[in-house]
Amino acid sequence: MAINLLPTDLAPQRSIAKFVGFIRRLNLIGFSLFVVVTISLLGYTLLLSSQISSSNSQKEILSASLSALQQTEQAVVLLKDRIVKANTLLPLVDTYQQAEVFQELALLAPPDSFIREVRLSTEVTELTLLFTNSSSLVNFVTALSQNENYVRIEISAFSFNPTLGYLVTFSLFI
Amino acid sequence: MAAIVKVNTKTGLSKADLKALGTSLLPFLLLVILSVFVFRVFLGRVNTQRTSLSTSRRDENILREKQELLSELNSEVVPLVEPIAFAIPHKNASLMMIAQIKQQASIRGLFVTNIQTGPAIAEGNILRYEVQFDVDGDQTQILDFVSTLSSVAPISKLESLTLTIVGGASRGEVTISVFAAPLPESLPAIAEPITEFNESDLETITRLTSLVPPPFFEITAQEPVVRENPFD
Repeated sequence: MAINLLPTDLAPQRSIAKFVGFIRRLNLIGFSLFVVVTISLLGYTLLLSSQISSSNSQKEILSASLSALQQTEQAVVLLKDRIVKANTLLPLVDTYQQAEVFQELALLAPPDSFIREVRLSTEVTELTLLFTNSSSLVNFVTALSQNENYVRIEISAFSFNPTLGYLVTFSLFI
Repeated sequence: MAAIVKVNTKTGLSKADLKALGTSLLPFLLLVILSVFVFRVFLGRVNTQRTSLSTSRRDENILREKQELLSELNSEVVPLVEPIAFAIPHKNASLMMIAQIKQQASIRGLFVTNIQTGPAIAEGNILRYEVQFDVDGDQTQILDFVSTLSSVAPISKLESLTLTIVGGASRGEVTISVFAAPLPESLPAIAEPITEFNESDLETITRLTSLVPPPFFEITAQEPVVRENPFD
């Protein structure tokens, strides 16, 4: 039989000893968990570092490859710039349509009439015609009124000369 | 001694109890403090690295997409630069248009005189030049000639045309505006993405490339040559 030779007041109380035992087990488990989690975090950090460095080296390779494509990139940037500006400018080219529309209109002029002057501008087309007789004037006005290219037609000048005939200026609004 | 007795009386713990508690609780507290410190440091570092990795991967993807797009466009885009630069030049727009006017007029047997051009007028980021000229010839040919200017490079606008017909002879007084624009000054940052050309962009490119280029070309400098000694 073992005999406890230590004085009883040197040993902790039983409840304290039990609590201390629990804390020590908790310490052991906690420390083990701490070691495992720390190693895992360290590993994860190393993995992330390696992935970052791999991504950076990949970026460097791609940047070098892009440097070789700089001429193409310049071309793309120029095209994009020109497309934006062309979208503003190309509608202005439509002003030339007035000349085309007038070419069609000139065909409506009767054979015994003469075009004296045409003024084409962005807002209005002014056409001065000489008609040798009233019937050709009426025919032209009838044909003009049926033309759908102009939203408004005005007679801005009208004169009659017994020798020449009728000199009429039309203002045609697109 | 009186103090120890006081403690013992208050807590009911002996010196041995306190020692036992101290030896177990102290490592526990140290472990807690160490854990908090280490985890805070590691988690902070992990978060920073994850952000850095996600940024790096995003940049990598942008660069990869850019590289793929540029490689794909390489053969298509470079040949378009010249016709597009003729459509909206960065300089000499009026000279290009004068060359076009002379060529288109000579094709139709028309005579162009009194060609005048004004200085560049800045309108936002676009430069406008006014070109005026007179043209003599057949009325139909003059109108056809003026219409044709809409299909030549550089882009222009018909400001006015006054056609006077006297005794069968026609004279046109024409004013047009021609446009130029400065070149882009810098390339976007390397990690900035490039967008593909959409349907509308392709339509604009088709329209610009269909314009007839001006009838002259740049004369490149001749390489230096060794001159023969005439006395040998």
